Amino acid sequence: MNRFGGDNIQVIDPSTNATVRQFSVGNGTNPQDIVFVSPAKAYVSRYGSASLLVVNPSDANGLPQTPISLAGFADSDGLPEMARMIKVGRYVFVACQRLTNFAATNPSMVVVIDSQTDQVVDVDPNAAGVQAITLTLRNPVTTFDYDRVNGRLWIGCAGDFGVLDGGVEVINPYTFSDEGVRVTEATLGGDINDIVWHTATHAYALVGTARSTAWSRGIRAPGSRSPTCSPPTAASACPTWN
Amino acid sequence: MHPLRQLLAALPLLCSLSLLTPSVAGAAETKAFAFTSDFSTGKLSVANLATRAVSLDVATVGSDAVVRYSRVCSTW
Repeated sequence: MNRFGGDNIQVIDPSTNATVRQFSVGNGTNPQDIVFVSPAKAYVSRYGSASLLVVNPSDANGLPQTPISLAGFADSDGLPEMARMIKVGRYVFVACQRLTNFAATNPSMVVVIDSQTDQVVDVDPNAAGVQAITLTLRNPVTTFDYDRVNGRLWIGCAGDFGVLDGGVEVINPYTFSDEGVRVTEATLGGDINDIVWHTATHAYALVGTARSTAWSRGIRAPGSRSPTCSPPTAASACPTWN
Repeated sequence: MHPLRQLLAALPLLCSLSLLTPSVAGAAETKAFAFTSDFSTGKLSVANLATRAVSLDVATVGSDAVVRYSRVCSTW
């Protein structure tokens, strides 16, 4: 993914390192992530556009390309600021930062796309309009990771950089519901950069501080639980943090 | 920056490659790709996971790239 200034997808054969093809996803759209559904269908999140793009990664020009509007989830700047994505079953989850001038001034959301219909899923039919999953924290910056024991999605939200206002949030991808904050940046000791779920009792978070590059926390004793793990619904739902 | 230092700086990305397809159990990985950038140009380097041998700058990419691997498209 050639992001800012590139605005294209470059396909490289890992066996030969040769570029197989390269195609635009729209000038100035700043693509961020790609999720593959099949050899002929993939979703591209675009930070500088209000629409997600469906492309054919096997075609020389990525055609056909079909936009899916997420304009309904944009903030005042007209962009939802799409970032990372993950596919669970038939559904694609799109993290939307909803920043304004790179400030986390709006609630962030996760938009759900049905890959069989390419329609945005209304996660709350009782509310007017088409609803996304509203996160408790702001500015989701990490990859999604999947908790294979509990069937949950994790994503790290940095909030505003330099302020310990973020953390790791958990989403139920089967009920399309937010399950709140699992651990805070204050506990982790820095702005969150990435997360890795390892086991039901063990996970990793990469954090950055104002005066250092990214660093990782010291390893806790196996099985120990974060004191801030919430909600502590089950021991298996509260991994340790390293 | 020296190419090797660039590669070392990209080690977190190397680790992150294991996240790319969390729901797919595939064959054992044999190589890892690292994206490096001097904010003007971008390169891919590759490490052989068995021998730890590194091949620098095997492909030219954008200066603000991220790397994704597709197993579903591996038969291209």
